Amino acid sequence: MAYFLAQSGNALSLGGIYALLALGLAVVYSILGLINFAHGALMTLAGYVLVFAAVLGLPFYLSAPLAIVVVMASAVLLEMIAFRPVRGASGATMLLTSFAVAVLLQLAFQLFISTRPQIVPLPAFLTATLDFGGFAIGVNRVISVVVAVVVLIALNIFLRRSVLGLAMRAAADDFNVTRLMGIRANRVIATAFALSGLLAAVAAVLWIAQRSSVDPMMGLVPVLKAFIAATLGGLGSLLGAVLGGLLLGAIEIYLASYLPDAALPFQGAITLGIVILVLVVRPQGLVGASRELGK
Amino acid sequence: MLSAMDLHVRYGAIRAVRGVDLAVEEGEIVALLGANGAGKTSTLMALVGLVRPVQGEVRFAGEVVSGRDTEDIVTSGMTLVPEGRHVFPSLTVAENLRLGAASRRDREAVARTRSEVLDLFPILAERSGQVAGTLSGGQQQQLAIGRALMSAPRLLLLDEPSLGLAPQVVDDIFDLLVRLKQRGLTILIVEQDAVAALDIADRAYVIVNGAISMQGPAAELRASKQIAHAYLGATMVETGA
Repeated sequence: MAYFLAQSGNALSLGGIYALLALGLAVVYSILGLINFAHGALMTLAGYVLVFAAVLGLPFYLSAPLAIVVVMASAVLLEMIAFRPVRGASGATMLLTSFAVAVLLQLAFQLFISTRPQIVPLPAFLTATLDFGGFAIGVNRVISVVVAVVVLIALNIFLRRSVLGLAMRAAADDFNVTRLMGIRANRVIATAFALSGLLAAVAAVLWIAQRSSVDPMMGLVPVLKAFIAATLGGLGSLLGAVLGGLLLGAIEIYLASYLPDAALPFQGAITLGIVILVLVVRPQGLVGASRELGK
Repeated sequence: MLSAMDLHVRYGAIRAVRGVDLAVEEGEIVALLGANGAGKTSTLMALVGLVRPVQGEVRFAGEVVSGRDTEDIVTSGMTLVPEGRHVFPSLTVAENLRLGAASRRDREAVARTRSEVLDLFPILAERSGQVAGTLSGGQQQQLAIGRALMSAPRLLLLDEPSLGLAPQVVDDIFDLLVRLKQRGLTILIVEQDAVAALDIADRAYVIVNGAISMQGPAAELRASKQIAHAYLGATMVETGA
C-alpha cells in the first residue's frame, strides 16, 4: 500500500508536468492551429537560465521566476519572428516552421553553450524526502504536484474572469469574429504564446527539480510526451490536455512500477499501445470536440 | 456616415466585388440585396476590414477607414453581425456579451448598454449562464445582435440576419431593427429575402455580379418588385448559383 501511494505521488507529479506542457501546446494550437514543437526548446532555455543565474550567484527563489519571465518573453519573440510570417498558412507549413525553430534553438544551445549536460544547483530542501507514516515521497514531487494544481487553477480563473482570457477562448472558437469585437488579433496571439512560455518554463523548473541537470535536448522528450498527452486528451481542448497529461503520467509510472522485470523494456511500447487503443475507440481524444478552450 | 467608392475585392483570381459605390446616411436603414454569390458578404467584409479591398476607398464618419485593421474600425463605431451569427459557441451568453464590449473602457456606460440589450432581448437575461452553442438559431441571432450592440456602434452592419430562421423569428428580428433605427442607430443590412428587407429599409441597392445594378428608395424598388425579382432570378441563372 505504501508503495502504491508513493507511486501515485510520482504519477501525479509526472502527470502534472505533462499536463502543463500539453496545456502549453493546446493554448497555441486551439487559436492558431499550430503544433509548436519549439515548445521543448523553450523548456531547455528555462534550464539554461537557471544554470546562468546560479553562476551569477542568484538564489533559486529568484532564478526560477527569472527563468519564467525570460521564457515568456522568448515565446512572444518567437511568435513575432518565426510564426507571424506564416500565420494563416497551412498546418504543414506551420509545423515545419516550428521544427525549424526547434532545431535552430537546439543547435544554438549546442554551439554557444555545450553539448554536455550542465549541472543545475538546487536548494537542499528540494532534494529532501517527506515521510507520511510509511510511504515516503520527495519534496520536489510534492512541490511539482502543488505547483501544477495552482497553475491550472490560476489559468482557469484567467480564462473565465478576464476579458483577455475570454478573448482567448473566443479566438479558439472563431478568430475573425473575435477581431470584430475590437480585440487585437496580435494581442490575443501574443498572450497565447506568453502563456505557453509560462507553462513551458514552470514545467521545466519542475522537471529540472527532479534531475538537476540540463542539456540541449532536454525539452525534446517531455514535449513529445506532451504532444501525445494532448492528442490523447483531444487536441485543442485545454481540459483534454490536462486529463491526457495526467493519464499519460499515470500509465507510465504504474507500468514502470508494476510490470514484471522481463516486461520492463517494453514499457514505452505498452504505454503507446494503450494510447493507440484509446484513440481507436475515441479518435477525437478523451474530451470530445477538438476546438474548444477552457470547457 | 458611410460611403464606399469604387470598391474592389479579389480572392486570388476571383473578382468578388467589382467597383461597388454605396452610401449610408445617418439614421437610415439601407438594404443591400442580391443573389447568392453576388458579392454582398464580400462588400461587408471589405467595409469592416476583414478583407482588404484591392482598390477603392471606404469612409466612415468622415475618415478613410479602408486599409485599417478591423479592430480599429470596430472601435471607431461600426460593427458587423456576421452571416450565420457566429456567436462564440463554447462561451456563455454573458461572456459573449461581455466580449462585445471589449473595446470600451467606461464600465458604467457598458453596464447601461448591457441593461438596454437585456431589455431588448429578455431571453438573453434568462439564458445568461448558458453556453451559446446550445441556444436555438433565433436566440443565437438575438445574441449576435446583442453582442454587436454592446460595442455601442453608430452603424450596424448585418449579414443575412434571416438565414435559417423561422418566418416568425425573422419578423421579430426585423421589427427589432426598426426599433433600433428609431433609437438612432444607422443600419446597413444584406439580405437575400428582398421583400422582407425592402419592408423596413429606407433605401436599397441591388448588387449583381459584384457591381451595383439598381438603387433607389425602398418604396420605388418595392413597386418594381417584379423587376427586382426578375433581376435577382436572372442573376441566379447567370451565375449558376
